[in-house]
Amino acid sequence: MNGQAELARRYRQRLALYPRAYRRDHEEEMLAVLLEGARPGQEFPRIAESADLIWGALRMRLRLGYPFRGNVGSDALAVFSLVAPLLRGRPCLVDLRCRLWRPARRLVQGLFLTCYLLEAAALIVSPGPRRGLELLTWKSAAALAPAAAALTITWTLTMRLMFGSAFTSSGDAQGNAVAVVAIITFAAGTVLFSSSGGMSWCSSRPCSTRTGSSSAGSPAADAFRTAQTAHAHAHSTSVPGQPCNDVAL
Amino acid sequence: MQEPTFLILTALAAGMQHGYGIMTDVARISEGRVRLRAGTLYAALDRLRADELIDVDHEEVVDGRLRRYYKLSEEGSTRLAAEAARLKADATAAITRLRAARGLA
Repeated sequence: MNGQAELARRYRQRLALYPRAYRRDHEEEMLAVLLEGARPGQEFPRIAESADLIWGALRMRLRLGYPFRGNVGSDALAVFSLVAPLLRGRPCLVDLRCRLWRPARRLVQGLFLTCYLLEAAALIVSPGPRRGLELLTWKSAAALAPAAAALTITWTLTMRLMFGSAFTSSGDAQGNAVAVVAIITFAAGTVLFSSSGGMSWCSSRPCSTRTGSSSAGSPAADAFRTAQTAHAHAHSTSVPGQPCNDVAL
Repeated sequence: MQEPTFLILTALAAGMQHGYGIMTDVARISEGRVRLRAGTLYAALDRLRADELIDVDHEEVVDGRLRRYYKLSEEGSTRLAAEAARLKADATAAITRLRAARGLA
């Protein structure tokens, strides 16, 4: 019987990979099934069993199954928010303007990377209701957005945070509204900046081709131009043709 | 409808069963071809429950272990019947054509 206790303990270790909310509902039941299926004298879970449990736990954590169903919209947004920065033509998660003061660029790069990693981690480990993540995302978006706009370098960062809010929205009206705004802004911004040779495409293009934008109407774009002009005044050493120092992660 | 889903519903067609019962029954019905493991089985059961194709009948404790019995819902029966009819029609068509081809050869 000791052998079975040992086996049960090991199965529980595997089951511990599942989200807590899921375990509350299913752990005892699944353990019973696993033990019923065990051979006499078996002390270790079979490799295929372990793999199956790990895969199952991962699926649950990635919201590919109950109990996270019914939130398909915000789940899709969550995934999109993680993938979107990677879809922008290059492995550029932060698209900062060239000639930006280096420490500021580093700071934003760090901030962005931290947000991104936290969110990726949160998506994996959050135990169920995503309420706990609100602080990290939409509230921080609200707090950071004005500062971000002032810095003018955080278009992408702001978008990330707004998508983050969509991710934690759990389907409530407020979160959904933010999500919709985020998507529209993101789409519009991407089109505007891409068409003017800006934001989306980094590294190879020389700085001189990327300044200014013919399109108006986007506060981010306006703030951006202002900052660029200001910066150009401060450092009048801009070299046409010099590659942009975008931050590629 | 994917085969494991079809087989789980089939396992429940005759009456309620608990997780392990479904597992062994699915293996039996498919003649060992489909072996569901716990993680896969519960992912499927949760999905079927969310889609309201199956329900929890009752729970009991056997040898200190929790058993939850599942049963086919009304909707589940209908869907399974429809799927079975579709598979049967497809199979019949395949067999008929193979026979015809052989007859011509």
